[in-house]
Amino acid sequence: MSTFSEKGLLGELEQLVLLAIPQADGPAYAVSIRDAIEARTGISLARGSVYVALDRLDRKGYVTSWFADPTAERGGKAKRCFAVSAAGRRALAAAEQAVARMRASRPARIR
Amino acid sequence: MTPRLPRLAGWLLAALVPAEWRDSIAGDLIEERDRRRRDRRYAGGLWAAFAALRIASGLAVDRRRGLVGKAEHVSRRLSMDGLRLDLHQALKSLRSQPLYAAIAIAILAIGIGANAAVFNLMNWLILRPVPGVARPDEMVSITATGRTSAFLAPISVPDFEALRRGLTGLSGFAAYQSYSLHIAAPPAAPRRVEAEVVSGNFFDVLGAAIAAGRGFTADEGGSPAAPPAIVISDRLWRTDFAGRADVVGQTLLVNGKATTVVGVAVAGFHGARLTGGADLWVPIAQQAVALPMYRLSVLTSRRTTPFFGLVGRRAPATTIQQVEAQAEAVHAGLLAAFPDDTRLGRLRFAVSAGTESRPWVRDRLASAMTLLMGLVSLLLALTAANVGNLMLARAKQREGELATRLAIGATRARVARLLIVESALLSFAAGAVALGITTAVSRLLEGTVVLQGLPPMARAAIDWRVFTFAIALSMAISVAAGLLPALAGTRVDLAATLRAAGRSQSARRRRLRQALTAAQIAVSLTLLVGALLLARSMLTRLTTNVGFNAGGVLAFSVEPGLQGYGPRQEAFYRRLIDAVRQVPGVRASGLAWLQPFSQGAADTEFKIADAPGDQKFSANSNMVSPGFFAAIGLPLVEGRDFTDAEFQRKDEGGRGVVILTESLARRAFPAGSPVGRRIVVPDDRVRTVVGVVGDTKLQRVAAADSDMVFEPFGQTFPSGWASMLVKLDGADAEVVPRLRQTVAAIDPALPIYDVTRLDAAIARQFADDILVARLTMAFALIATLIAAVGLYGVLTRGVAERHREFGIRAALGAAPRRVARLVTTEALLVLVTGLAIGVGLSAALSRVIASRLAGVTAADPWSYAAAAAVLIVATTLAAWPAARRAARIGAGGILR
Repeated sequence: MSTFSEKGLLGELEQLVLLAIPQADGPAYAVSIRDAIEARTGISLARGSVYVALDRLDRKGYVTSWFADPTAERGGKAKRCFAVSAAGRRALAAAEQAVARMRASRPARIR
Repeated sequence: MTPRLPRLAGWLLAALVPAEWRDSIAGDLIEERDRRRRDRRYAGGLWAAFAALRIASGLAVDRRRGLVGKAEHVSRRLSMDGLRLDLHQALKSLRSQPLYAAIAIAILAIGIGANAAVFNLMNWLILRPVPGVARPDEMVSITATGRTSAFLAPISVPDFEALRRGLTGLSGFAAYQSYSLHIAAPPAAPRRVEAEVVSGNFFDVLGAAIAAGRGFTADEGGSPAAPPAIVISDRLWRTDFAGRADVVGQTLLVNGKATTVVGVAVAGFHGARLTGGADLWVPIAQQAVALPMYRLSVLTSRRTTPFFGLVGRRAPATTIQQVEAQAEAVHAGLLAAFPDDTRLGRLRFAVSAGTESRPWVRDRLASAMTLLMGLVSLLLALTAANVGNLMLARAKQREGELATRLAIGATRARVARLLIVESALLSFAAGAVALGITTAVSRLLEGTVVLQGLPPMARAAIDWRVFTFAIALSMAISVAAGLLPALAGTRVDLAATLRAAGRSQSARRRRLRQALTAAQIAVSLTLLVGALLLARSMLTRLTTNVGFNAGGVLAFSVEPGLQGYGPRQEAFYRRLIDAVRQVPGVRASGLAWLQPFSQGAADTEFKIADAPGDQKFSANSNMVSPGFFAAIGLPLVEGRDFTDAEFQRKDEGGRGVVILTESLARRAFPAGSPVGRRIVVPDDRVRTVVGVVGDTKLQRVAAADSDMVFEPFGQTFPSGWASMLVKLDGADAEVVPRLRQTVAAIDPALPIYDVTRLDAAIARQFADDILVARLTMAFALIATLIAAVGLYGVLTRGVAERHREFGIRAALGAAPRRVARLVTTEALLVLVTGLAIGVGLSAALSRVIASRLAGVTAADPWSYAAAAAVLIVATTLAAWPAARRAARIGAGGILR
């Protein structure tokens, strides 16, 4: 089963961001993604981390992005919005499965 | 009003973040900033800049890692945790000694502030882009210059058109020339402003932003028949139209003719040149308005050359070299078409980046600025040495603390880092103070003429270039000043220090501190020598004997030619002379073609009539009215003044006359009286010498000779302008308004301009020298003060350290005076070492200013002696308290 591609297994930061994209309030962009993670886990990620993860996921093809219309309150700057791609869903599933299998097979002592 | 990201953050994003992220991150940061504001958390420029920097560095680092592996967190803190700890420690330790911190910050701030102020000046004069010009890096300027030398020649309208057709590598090509024009918005009095007569496409090519209205239409720019249209500057809009909103469409009298304001340029735009001062733009097609003394057919022929400034915008992907090659092709084509044009044959078209078309302006600015930068970097080195000294002394005090740190396992590097962080903290605080100093200095310079021939300095706001410069300088100086104590402070003999915390192996360190102090004295001497040399040369220049007392003479100019007087101006000048003579407070008056010591200059050549050989004499020339010499107080040595009959008499039938200056007359006519002899001036015109006056430098005071040929006003050609010279009895404030009224009574539409005392006009010729001399003197005095305070600190600390030693000496019978001598000997040693190094340094550096000196050589012993004397006095004052303290210690000192 080739779930471990040459791109490696998703790290926890990437997983968090991938999981947060569909749960973001309104369109998913850096600010709402970070908010979504903080609201559910209490983890306040560094702003830079979110961009690094998104940039990486984008380059791996795990997310797709588009620019929303610029608004005045953002100084006329467009939002860069994200959605999880099919490949992204597969990579997320692979990472979760790998962890789940390892967890299921570990001896009771360290459970 | 749409929100904007602070400038620094925006700039960081633009420079560092990949394009696909740039805008969205900027928007995110704006959003987050507003959220932070609502939460009442700090959300200023620094927050945004740091956030941008962290995002940018996170992305940059991750992108270099490739796609294998996982995303790593960007640390919430700057990645070096230890650094944060150090910062905390450093803050704590500085707070415990606020006086030390304050002194160090103040001294560093002086060093950084002086540098940033000079850099700010340089930025304003040279570096910043021309305000209002779109994409300034695309601009090129084209100049007609000598094939071998760098003089600048104006070009004709047809040649400009030929260039416009030939330079296909440019997407636009415009021309302009500065003129002074008269404006009036009745009922306000008329005045004279700097204006530019431009090709119709001027604003289109520059992309110069128009704040209200529009630039010139093709019709206005090209057709003399179009209704006269002008664009005015933001400044003119505010002063002459009181900033009213309906300015577009209003009428302004230009040279007495009604024109319509079609646009207002953006604030700060005063022409294509960075240091331009134009307030008004008129298309050349409107020659009848702007330059009524020329006919359009003459102005646009190849015979006249109205354009100095040519600016073009490079098309994308065209290099300057390509434009240069095209310009050469145009030149070759013109030469082929006009083979008789010898003037064109001596010229070539040079292309350079940017919009400043006058190479000498760039050169003069660069030369003055390089000198100032050199001087302030000396001051910076001195402040670094001084603060290094302070830190060394502190490191000594903290020997115990540092030794303990090393003993419990901190590495030397770690302790050194702590010390450097401390110095960085001081430097950045100093950098912030320095920016304040810079703002204050640029306020002080506002309105002053920094360089001769340039308009007065406007408000020079601190932009990101100056900000970055100050930050970079702070960083450099924090390492420079912190490194030495860090190295010395961490080389602690552990065992010895822990054994007896007070007694030190500090002789070596004291020598280091003495060396740093000597270095400060050396730099102070160098700056003082430079300042004295420049000041002496300045005095020489300002007190140059110009042949008469310039301070007693007031000058003002009028230009009836601009108002379209034509032949009527003769009668006008006669009326003016008569009317001014009647003004109370005027003792004598006379008219001249060129205002003395102004920018204008003319020279001539002559031969002796009927003399064998071909010897030629050259001299400056001017045309003056009867009474001119009496008005300025130039003595008549021989012969007579011009007569009323000669005034404005055309040169016909060989009845022309001249008056020569004395030395010139003696050289030209060594035997017998020159009066009655005849000379031949250019165009084979014969003139009779009717008088000889005293030698005078009436144009450039720095000129080597004092030779002049005077002709009666209007003899060679009628002049459209004239300068009135007035010997005053009263104060300017009383007489000048009367003079204005007098001229207004003759022609209410005619302004007077360049109203000045002649000694002030002389001083303006040396504006840049005066600026450099004044700043150097200020830097030198500051340097001396800092060095003296530094020496005082070193000596008093030395006394404190050697308290026991002095006590023992006293107990063993040394007289107080002998104990004090130990201190004065140390001071003397430092002083002598400093002076010796300083003399060498000055000798090496004063060669740099040698070319600026007049009446004094770079090796002038008087300046060296005076500089040394200042330092000897300063050293004595600095050593006195320490010596007294040492003498008072007495035998009781052992007990402490």
